[in-house]
Amino acid sequence: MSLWRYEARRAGWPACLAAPASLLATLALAAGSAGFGAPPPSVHGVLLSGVEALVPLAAAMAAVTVVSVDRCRELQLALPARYPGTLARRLGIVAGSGAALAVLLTAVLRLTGSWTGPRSALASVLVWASPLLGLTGLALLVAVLGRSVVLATTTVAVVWLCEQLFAPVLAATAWSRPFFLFLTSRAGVADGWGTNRAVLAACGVLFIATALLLLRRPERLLTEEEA
Amino acid sequence: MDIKISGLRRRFGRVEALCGVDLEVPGGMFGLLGTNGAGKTTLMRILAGVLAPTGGRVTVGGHDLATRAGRLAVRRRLGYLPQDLGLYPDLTTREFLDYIGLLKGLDDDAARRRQIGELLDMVGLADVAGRRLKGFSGGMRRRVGIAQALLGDPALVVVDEPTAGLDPEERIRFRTLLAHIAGHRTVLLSTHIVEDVAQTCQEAAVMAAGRVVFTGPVTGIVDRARGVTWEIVTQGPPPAAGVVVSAVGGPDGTRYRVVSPVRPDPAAVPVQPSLEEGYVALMREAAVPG
Repeated sequence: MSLWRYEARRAGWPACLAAPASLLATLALAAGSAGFGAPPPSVHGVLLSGVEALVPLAAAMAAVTVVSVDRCRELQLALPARYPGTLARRLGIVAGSGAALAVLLTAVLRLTGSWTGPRSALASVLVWASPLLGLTGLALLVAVLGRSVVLATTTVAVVWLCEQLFAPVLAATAWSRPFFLFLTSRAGVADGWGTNRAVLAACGVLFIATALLLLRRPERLLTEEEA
Repeated sequence: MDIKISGLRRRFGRVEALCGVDLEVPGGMFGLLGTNGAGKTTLMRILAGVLAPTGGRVTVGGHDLATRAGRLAVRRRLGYLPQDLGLYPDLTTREFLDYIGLLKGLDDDAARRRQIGELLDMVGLADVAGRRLKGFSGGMRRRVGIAQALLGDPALVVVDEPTAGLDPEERIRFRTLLAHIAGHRTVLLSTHIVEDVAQTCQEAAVMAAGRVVFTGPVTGIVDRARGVTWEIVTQGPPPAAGVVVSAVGGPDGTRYRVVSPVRPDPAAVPVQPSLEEGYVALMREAAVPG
């Protein structure tokens, strides 16, 4: 238990606060749109977008920080505890807090009748879990390959922004539809939704597995300056 | 815990940091001298399992570092103080040691806390055990570093440039601490400060340009400058030949000590060399091609 408490502190406040911040941002956006007189379906759409788009983005950015920033990295690499395992604990804390908040928000939205996503409980988890896996996996892979916070956060931000900006095209095109992060909030639970969720989750697992494989050479984690 | 290194190579892109290092480190305190860029830190990192070698073989206490099992076995018996030890500023000294202790597999809470208490006393940080590491001086940070290295009572302690940047008093204190802990374990001290090795080690190796150019008793380094160390007192400019190791101004002029294979000046007289002069002589030898 002590080790998990220390790892939560090592993950850092920005990483731990990312999920609550995304939740607050979602609620603020929904309150803002309601305040400007948007009809309830639009407000509900904003809330669903928060669950599908903001929670995964926050988790991915936090994952980059966890993997890329560690003041004692060289010492950690020389300890008997395997460093990828240490990182996995920190990532678990970040992803876990994001997931807990997403579940909480989803439950509240369902109870208040504001939920416009899929009806089944499992499917409603996939609304946020699949893009979270995909985006976090991408963030991890780029962070390990590039050994740079800036590169990893920029990549995640660019992918996220491009998918938002070109959402209609990406959702309508056959080849890009399975990889589109925001299908639920932009196109609803229509044809290909299940495939889309499965592909995103599979990509995320593939990215994470590749990152872990690369981490078998611990020096990959040393930045150019450290090496 | 003996270390055996043969034909060790490490390449970073086009740069060969280690080009065939052969070295045997017996127990006790062992010094590794060399200029910045000689390859000391790369060697320390390979020994600590942080970097993988490009070629060659390293065994520590009979464990081959080329294998995963060997690296893990060595890490379990290793204490490592890296050159740039970052600390977690939000943790207190005691919390930091507790965290590292947990990562070292010291799962018995009571035993771990007892050991941390003993180490804090030993390194003189018991009074600041509850203080956050943020704002610690360089000397205090190094003492925290050596305390974490000693957690778990490792058989091998690898310390990389531990006294660089410390004031003289703190340096002496740290050297004494290192000599004290070397009682029943192997301590590998990497440094570019000759005095540190002179004061703490009986055996040492000298590295230059990725190679070991000397290994043996520290007195052997001094011997390299025998017959090539000169002293001259002059009011003129420093001697052009050789390397000026020291220059002390006085009323009669400046007293220069010079390492040179030839008499640098007709007035120069041969003198007993110091370890530093032996080191300079070795470096000159290593710099001569072939």
